[in-house]
Amino acid sequence: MQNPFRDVHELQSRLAEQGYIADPGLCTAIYLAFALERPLFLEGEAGVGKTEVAKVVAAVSGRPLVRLQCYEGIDRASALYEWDYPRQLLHIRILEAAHAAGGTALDERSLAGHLYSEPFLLRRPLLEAITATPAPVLLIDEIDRSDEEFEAFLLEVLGEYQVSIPELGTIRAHETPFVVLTSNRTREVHDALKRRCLYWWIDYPTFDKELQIIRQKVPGLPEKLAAHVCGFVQRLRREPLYKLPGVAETLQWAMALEALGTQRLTPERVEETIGCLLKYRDDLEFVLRARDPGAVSIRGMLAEIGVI
Amino acid sequence: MPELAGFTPAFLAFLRGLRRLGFALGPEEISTAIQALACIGVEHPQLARAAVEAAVVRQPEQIPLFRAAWQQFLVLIQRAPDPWLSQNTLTANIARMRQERLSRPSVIWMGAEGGAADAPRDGGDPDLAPDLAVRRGASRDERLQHADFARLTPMEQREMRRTRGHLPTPSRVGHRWATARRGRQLDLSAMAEAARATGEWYRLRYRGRKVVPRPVVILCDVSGSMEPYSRLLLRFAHTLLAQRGRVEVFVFSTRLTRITRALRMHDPDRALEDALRLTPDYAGGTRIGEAVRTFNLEWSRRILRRGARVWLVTDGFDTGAPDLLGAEVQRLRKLARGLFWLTPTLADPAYQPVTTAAQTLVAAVDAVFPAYSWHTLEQTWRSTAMHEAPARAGLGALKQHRGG
Repeated sequence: MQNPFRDVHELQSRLAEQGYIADPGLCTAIYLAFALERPLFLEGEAGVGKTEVAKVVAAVSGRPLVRLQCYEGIDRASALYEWDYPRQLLHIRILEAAHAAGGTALDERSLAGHLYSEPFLLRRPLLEAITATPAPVLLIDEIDRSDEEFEAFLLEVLGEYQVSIPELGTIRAHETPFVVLTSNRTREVHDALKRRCLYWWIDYPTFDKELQIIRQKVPGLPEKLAAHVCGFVQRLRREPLYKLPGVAETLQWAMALEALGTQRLTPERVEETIGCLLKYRDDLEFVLRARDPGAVSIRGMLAEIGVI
Repeated sequence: MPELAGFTPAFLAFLRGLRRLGFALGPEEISTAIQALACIGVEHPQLARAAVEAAVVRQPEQIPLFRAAWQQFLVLIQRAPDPWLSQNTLTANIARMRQERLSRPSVIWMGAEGGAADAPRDGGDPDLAPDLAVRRGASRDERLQHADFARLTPMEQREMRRTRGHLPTPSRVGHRWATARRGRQLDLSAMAEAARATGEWYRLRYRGRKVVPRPVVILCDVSGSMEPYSRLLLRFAHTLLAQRGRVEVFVFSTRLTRITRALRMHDPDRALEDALRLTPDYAGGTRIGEAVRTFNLEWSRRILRRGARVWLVTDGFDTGAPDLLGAEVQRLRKLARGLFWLTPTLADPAYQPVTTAAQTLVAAVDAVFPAYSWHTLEQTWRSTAMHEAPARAGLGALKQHRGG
């Protein structure tokens, strides 16, 4: 795998060109993943831009993106490879018919070798990613949704960049793909898998970084309002909510405010649009009613950040 | 690597020092870390730190520890030339920090025994206190104390040995496929495999869903009023863990503690001892609502997966706010596949759930089961394992289980 970047700073500015604001730590991890040819394991809360990393890196490095969405019960047949059994059966029938018609002789050994060869192999995303040239960016999304058994399939692919198929042999990658694994941490992924990867934890962004993201993605929003939006979300993240709003939610909210033609943030406007930020009824109730001792109302929070 | 006198040995010493702090670093990780640093260089301190961090950190909890260690490392390479010295000074410093971070508050408040301790202290609404507050332990204060958790009696040990390995495993139909004798979809892969020797298909094989174990989460109240029963429950949980059941155990009185790891120890005496050591609020007051809230916030997303069942074991003498309890238990019920209230109070045939907390629980859970003896626990476990499609059951279930 050719490292397409000269140094970490170049990588950072190239990512920024594509609209992804990353802090130097994350950029270092991405750069190292290229330089050391290691998979990159990204963990963080939902909506902090883990999946986006793979998409942007694919765009920046000019490689295709191969995405494998994990789910419970995903297995070898749907992730790695499978034999095309119906085609194999058809093939046998055709050969049998030809044999019966007095044509070719049936040689058992060559037949078996023929049936388990590349034309009868169905390539699933992981095998596809390994054999394709140019090597793609392989995104294994939400690995924590798969079950423990599936992680074992990944070990060979991520450790050696190869797939062993018993009937066919080992298929090795000509070019190493850039692999990104993401996890929401709904369960711990096994150490054996993490060991093979570089690890980076993506936290909620700081005020400055989040403001930069809003300015970039929602340029139509007045500058002062963008700062207020950012300040309010940052304040909201300090409340004991079930699901804290991520960057994705902030952007959604900023877009909503832009679409409504908002000029100033008022408690009423926040209440009307807070559905963009909070997705649980309990969280909505907690913030809107603010009954618990120590809870701060929306007006209070806005006052705290100096909007009203 | 930077051409700094003694840098490489010092860096190696640093990495070995991390091992003592609980980082799992094998030779491979160490070589990755060295490569990473060599690749990024040390001109920019922040990038250098990020490079090593990406190579050695594996959990978000390790990040502050690593950053502190890195800071110490930077200070030390500028001063001490001796790697042995630096390693030892470094780890000693960080180990002390870690100790401080993990240690519990050392203030121990011993509540006065008797009725005085049970009176509401923090100026709370006296109406909220249960009317059965005479029982020792429904205290509003945390009692950080060690109960007399004597060694297991021979009878108890016999009970545990007899049961071990004989309890059924709760299960559910999973998402993974396996070969089955009948079904809707043909398993051509298995048929091809079976036909390899003969070249002919004699029997059709199908694909069916695999049956996978269903996790059970036990949230056990260890407040003062539950003291005679919590020990029984922990013994039962140990037996379940000993037969490799998928069980997670949490205990709460005024705070929530996860004790699964301690209970996994083979020797039951030591397992119970360790579990108790982890629980500083053993036999303290009861705040069910807050404990369930903590569980919902911090653990539910990680633990309540794969169709987990939840046992909430408590006598329903709560001193927290009833609103909070109701809301949190209902939330828990939505997250779990089957929430059961196990209560020792059903030992009394005349028991009626009159306290607010008990009524809230009865209304919110899927079913109520008794939990006052080893036998009832075994029965409850079997019902939990069998229980399919949790039906809403209120007081009806209470009556139903009272007979058995």
